[in-house]
Amino acid sequence: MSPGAAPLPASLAAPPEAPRSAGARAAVPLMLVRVGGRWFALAAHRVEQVAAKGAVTRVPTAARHVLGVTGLRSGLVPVISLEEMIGTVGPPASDPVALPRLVVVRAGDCEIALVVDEIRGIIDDLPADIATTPSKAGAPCFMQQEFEWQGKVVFVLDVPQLVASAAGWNLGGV
Amino acid sequence: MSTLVLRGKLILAFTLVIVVITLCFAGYLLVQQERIASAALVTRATGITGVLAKLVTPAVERDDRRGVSSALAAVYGHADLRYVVVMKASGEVYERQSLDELAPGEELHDNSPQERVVQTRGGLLHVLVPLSSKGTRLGTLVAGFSRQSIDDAIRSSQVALLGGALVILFIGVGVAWLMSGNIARPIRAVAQRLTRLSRDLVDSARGQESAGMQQASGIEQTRRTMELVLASAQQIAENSSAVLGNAERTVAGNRDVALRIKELDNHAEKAAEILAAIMQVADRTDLLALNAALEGTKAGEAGRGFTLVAAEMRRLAESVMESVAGIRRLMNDMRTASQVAVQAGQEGIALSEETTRSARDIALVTQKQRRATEQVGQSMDDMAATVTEAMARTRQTAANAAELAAAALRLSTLVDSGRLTPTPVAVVEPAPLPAGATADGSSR
Repeated sequence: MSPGAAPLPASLAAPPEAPRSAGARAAVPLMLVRVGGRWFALAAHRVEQVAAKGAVTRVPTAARHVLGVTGLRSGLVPVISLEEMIGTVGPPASDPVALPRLVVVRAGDCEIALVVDEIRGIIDDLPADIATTPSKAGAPCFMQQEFEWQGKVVFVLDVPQLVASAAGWNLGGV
Repeated sequence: MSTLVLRGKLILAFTLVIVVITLCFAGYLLVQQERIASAALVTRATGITGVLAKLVTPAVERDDRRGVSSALAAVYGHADLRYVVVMKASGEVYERQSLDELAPGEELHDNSPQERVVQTRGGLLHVLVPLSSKGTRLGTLVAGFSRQSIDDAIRSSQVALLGGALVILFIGVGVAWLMSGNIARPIRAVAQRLTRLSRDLVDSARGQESAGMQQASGIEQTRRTMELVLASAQQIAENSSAVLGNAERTVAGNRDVALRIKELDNHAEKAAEILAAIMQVADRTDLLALNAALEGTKAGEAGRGFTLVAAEMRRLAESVMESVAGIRRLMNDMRTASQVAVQAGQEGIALSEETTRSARDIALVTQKQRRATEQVGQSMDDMAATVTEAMARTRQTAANAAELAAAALRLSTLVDSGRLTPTPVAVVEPAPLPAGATADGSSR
């Protein structure tokens, strides 16, 4: 563990309603996604579904990171561009196999669909004592932690903060 | 020295001519002088005798001997008169006078003439005149005249003619000397120049004949070369025809290959469509597996097996997608290769068509070349005939020049030797005709 390392943040903690057995792993399952050249981790229980990126209807006067709305099984969901929210995500990895996906996350009653280039999958064997480090100064509020996994730097996305930032809300501790 | 000999001969010839002309002229003059002098002597004698007859007739009629003597004395002393005799009708010599003693029978005593008679006998001119008076025959007067004056005049004339002939001879020799000089020098110069020109002409004719032989040889060689070129042109025409056939077959083959490649490209497009469908199915399968895994994860331990199955399904879908992607890359490579092949095929068709056009052009050019070669061969034959004819003419010219050189040399020899009889001179024979040429203008 590097200096200044901290345990997993509360955003990655297991949901309170999830049963936990004695031999269960300590960490919650994470969904790893890639946007451009960066990898991000989201708590799997915050993800409602994944879908192919279909037609996106632009919304006039919307913020730049709101690409529009798209119809999913739960209704119309705003489509958010992480790249626009973060700033730069680096050059995209050359992977012709991967297709753009929409990752629908929920925070409270609010759902947003994040545009990602690749979904690595759900990782449920992350060690419980994996340490996270604070992100660099000036990082967005929903991206304050990061950890290293298989040689990659993975930024931890705080879904409630992300949803609040995308929607322009302050959700507090949701 | 040779010029002097020639001039001497010319002077001798001129002198002979002058002498002959002078002798003829002198003889003619002497004959004419004798004829004229004889006629004059006859006239003078007849005149003197007539006058004397008239003088003595009265004295004879009177029988006056003294009167007769005095009358005869009037003519006594005449240079040509040698004797005078007066005879009676009876034949008796009545009176006689003579300058000198004459030989017996030298005087003519003839009393028979009835009229005047002139006779030449014994180197004297005798004139007989009958004497009559009133129809009566009295006698005859006979006078003898000498030809001494005529002989003296002829002798004087001969001396004068001899002197004149000598003068004319000297003058003629001088003139002949000058004329021979003016004749001999140009003749000798012309003979020498003619000799040189003839030899030059012979040399030139020989050189021209040699050049003609070389030209004929070159033409013959060129004609053989043109025959080889013609054979090569025919072979090229045959080869170009074969190339044309191959090029046309190549065009057809390339077009067939392009058509096959286009069909293959269509099949590849259909395979790409199938791959897109497979890719879409795999993508949806991946999404379904991912959502299933997500739901299994949310279910906790109860959904763990479900999650594992979903994960396997997702890996399978990803494997399918990777395979499809690999197949797509291969298909893209195949399409790229087929496009390159199509382009190469089109270029090959273009090249084959260009080759076909080139082969046709080569065939046309070869045909033209063959016709041109045939025309050149015909021209070579005509030129060979012309050269052979020119060689024959040159040979004739050389023969004529040789004859001219021989004549010039003979003339020069005659001038040098001064002989009038021709001297045998070696005649320059012309060179024989070349082995490949004949006198009738054909070449072998």
